[in-house]
Amino acid sequence: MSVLNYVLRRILVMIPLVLGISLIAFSIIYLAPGSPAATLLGPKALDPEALARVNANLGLDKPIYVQYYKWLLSTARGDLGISIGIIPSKPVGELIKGRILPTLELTLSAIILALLVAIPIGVVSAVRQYSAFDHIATIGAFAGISLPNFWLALMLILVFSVELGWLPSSGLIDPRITSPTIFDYLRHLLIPAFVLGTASMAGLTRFVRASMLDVLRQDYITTARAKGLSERKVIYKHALRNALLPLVTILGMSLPGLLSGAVLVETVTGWPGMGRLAVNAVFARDYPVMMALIMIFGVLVIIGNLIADIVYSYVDPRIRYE
Amino acid sequence: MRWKAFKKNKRALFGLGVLAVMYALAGFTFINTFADYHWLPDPNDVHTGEKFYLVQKASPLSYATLERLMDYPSLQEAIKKPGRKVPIKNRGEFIKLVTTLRKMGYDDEEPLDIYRKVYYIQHEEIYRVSLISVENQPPSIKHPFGTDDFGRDVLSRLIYASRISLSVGFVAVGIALAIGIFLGAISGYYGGIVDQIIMRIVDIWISIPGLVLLITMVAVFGPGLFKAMVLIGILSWAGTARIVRGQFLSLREQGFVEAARATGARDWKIIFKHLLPNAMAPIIVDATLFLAGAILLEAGLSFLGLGAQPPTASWGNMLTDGQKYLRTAWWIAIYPGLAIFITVLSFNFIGDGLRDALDPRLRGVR
Amino acid sequence: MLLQVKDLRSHFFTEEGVVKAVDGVSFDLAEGETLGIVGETGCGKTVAALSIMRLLSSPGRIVGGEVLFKGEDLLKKSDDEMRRIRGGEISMVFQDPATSFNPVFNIGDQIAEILQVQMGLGKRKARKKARDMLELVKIPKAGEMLHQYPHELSGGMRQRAMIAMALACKPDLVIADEPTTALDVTIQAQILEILKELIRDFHVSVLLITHNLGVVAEICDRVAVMRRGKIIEQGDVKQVFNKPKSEYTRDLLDVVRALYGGVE
Repeated sequence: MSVLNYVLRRILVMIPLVLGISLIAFSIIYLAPGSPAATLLGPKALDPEALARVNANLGLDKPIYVQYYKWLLSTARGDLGISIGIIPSKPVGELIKGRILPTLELTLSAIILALLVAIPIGVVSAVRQYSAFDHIATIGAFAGISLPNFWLALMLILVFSVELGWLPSSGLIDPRITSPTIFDYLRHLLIPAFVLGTASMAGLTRFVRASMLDVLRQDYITTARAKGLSERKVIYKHALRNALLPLVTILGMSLPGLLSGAVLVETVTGWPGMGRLAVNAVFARDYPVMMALIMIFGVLVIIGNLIADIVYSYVDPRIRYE
Repeated sequence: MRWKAFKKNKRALFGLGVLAVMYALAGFTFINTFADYHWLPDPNDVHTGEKFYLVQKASPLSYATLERLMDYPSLQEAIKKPGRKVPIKNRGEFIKLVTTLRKMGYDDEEPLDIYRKVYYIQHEEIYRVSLISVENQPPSIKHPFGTDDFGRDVLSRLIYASRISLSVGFVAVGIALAIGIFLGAISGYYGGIVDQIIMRIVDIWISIPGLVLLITMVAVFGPGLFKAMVLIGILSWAGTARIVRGQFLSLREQGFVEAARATGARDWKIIFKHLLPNAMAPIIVDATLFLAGAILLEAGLSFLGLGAQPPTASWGNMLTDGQKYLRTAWWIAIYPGLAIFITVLSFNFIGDGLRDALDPRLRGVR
Repeated sequence: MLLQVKDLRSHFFTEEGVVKAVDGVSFDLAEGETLGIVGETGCGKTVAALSIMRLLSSPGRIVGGEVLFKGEDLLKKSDDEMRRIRGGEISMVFQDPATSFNPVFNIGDQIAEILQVQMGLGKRKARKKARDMLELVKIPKAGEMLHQYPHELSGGMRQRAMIAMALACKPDLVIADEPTTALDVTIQAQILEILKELIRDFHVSVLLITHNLGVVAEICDRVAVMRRGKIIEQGDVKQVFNKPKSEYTRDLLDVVRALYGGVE
């Protein structure tokens, strides 16, 4: 029952966070140049009918907190406004709907790639501290967090797409193929996911290394050795599980960074996700889309953190049985 | 401050060395401006590239004919060698051809890296004449990093652009530090409700992916380098605030506050004269690492076209051109990115070295 | 003679210099005997214990001496051989049970593990034996504890579990490093009682490390006094306590008498 308790408490904390994000998104209406009506309707602000509808929805003549309340309600109900730049008159919700999944797929793939690389390298780095491997891995980690991801994407495209022709240079699937296969999808996913995962790979490697070093210093590791366990068992059974526990939380905290990176990576590789949409929205001055994206990005991060917390509470016995 | 430890850190020293060279180069560009000694070509100078004819047999859907073929000797030569690129030896010929093309209605808005198609009929055979103007010149002795689509020397643009990329980070860091230290100090010192509220705000702030909020703000306030740096600073105070707050809390536990209060000092004085100096170590480390991040953010923004606006060159917007010409002129894309990478790497090395030197116990994640 | 330590030397090689934690330590331990190694904090007794088990990790290193266990020098054995000895023939009880158990595994699994590895028992048998051991250390509801995690237990229960784990494979020698120091005074007495009983029932030899002379008086047959990496006096407990040969020992005893009014 304590797990349920824990989860409920976490959800309760979520609520003010979501409200805070909504405040920021809402404030754009007033920060943007021009009247609030123009911000929401664009050129249609001159149309009395549209104006009247917006007024009814948001009450632009009423005090701010009423407007905020009404806007919040309609957003929660799913009405995210009408696009004014990208595809005028199209409901924002529809515009975004098709983009969420690609971004999530990209982000998830990046995380998986990052973990696949970071965990082994981090563990070996820790076990062989100060060795040549460790030094190279550390420099690699520094490189990973210093690379501009959009440049890395360009370089990879240059080598693998332009020069070698192994991988496609943009998009989700080859538009010429009538029945796209998983294999084709994966080919397109490779460069974007790798680029997005690079920074995480680097950061996580250092983290796993540090966590592992910390754990290896603990008393229970000496106990394990005193029981006559093989060094392999000591490291991979006793140490590893403890070292990886905080990883879950760290992944949750890295979500905002990942989604930020997705903006650039999607733009350079032509991946049709929310990040690319955001950039398009900025160039089209499509404020309703921008506001909706802020909300959705923020909510995604919070949900992601919630999931991380739940997983963590399940995996760490100290919380599970408390 | 364990200077000895810092000096032993090879990576930090490497970073310091690299940055010293970069800032020196950037500084020397001012010699160009003031002392009139041009050790580096002006970044806006155009070094025109070669021009070629390429004549191929064609079946056009429409065509225009060139009169007076004898005015174009190199073209005559090219017609004799279909399929081979023939250089235009006379600049005058090139200018005349462009003028003629314009009169025929072919508009020349963009830089000359375009294909022009002119059809010429001779002996009932139709030839398509392509005018290839390669401004993008690959690296050579004269231009070690090549030239871009305007014929400008990439190396010199790179160094001039470094003036921007190396200095703007400080604006952002300054602002972020100011806000972060202020809020973090208040939060850590007063505790209670104030602390709770500020920490909630910090949580909200970091929940929105930075770049998304950043580009939205650029949409709202308009693009531009300085505006961008201010925005980056405003958007990034949260991490610093947390660190400052953490430091203050631990200092409180160690009794610093009580000791200062015993001397009868007022709140502000306690914060600034007693607590803050002791908290500086992690703040400095954080600032250095954030500087690295700010450079990346500026580059990203400029790459998207939202930061430094052309003709101002920043490494980021040099990469925008790089993307455009990735297939034909790869050198435009490699070097600016490499510059960003090495600079950020150096700052990261230094920040890490500082962290080890100032307090080896400081192992955390920003 | 079960254990003969001859001129053991272990040094720590740090940036600031070499620390000679164990500087020429020699003592004997007969079968069935309980030897106490006593000294202030920092005198090197824990390092000596870890050296015997060859569990010393950098920057520490054994630099010289012999450790004869059943006639064979442990310092010359291969890693594989040592692993078989650890847990099976020589086991260890650690000081802080809170940190000595792995927090992510339950007690049953951790005790069963040593049985599986050292005695080759299958999982079910190992768990059953683990339960038997827990009952031996007088744990009520031993079956329940098998499923519990270290953080759910009190200090005393944890230490009992640790003792159970150390004795599970019926080792010849148990090294106990400050087994009661981290516990409440009231619990200490209980644990000591259990230890005394088990030592008798299992016929184990015990190397007991402690800074507490009272514990030595309770349990040990012989005692060695250690100071700054060297043993300055050893012998029968009654002898050493009533007629201490060195001044240091005398000072130690004086302190204890002053605080507690006498030892035995």
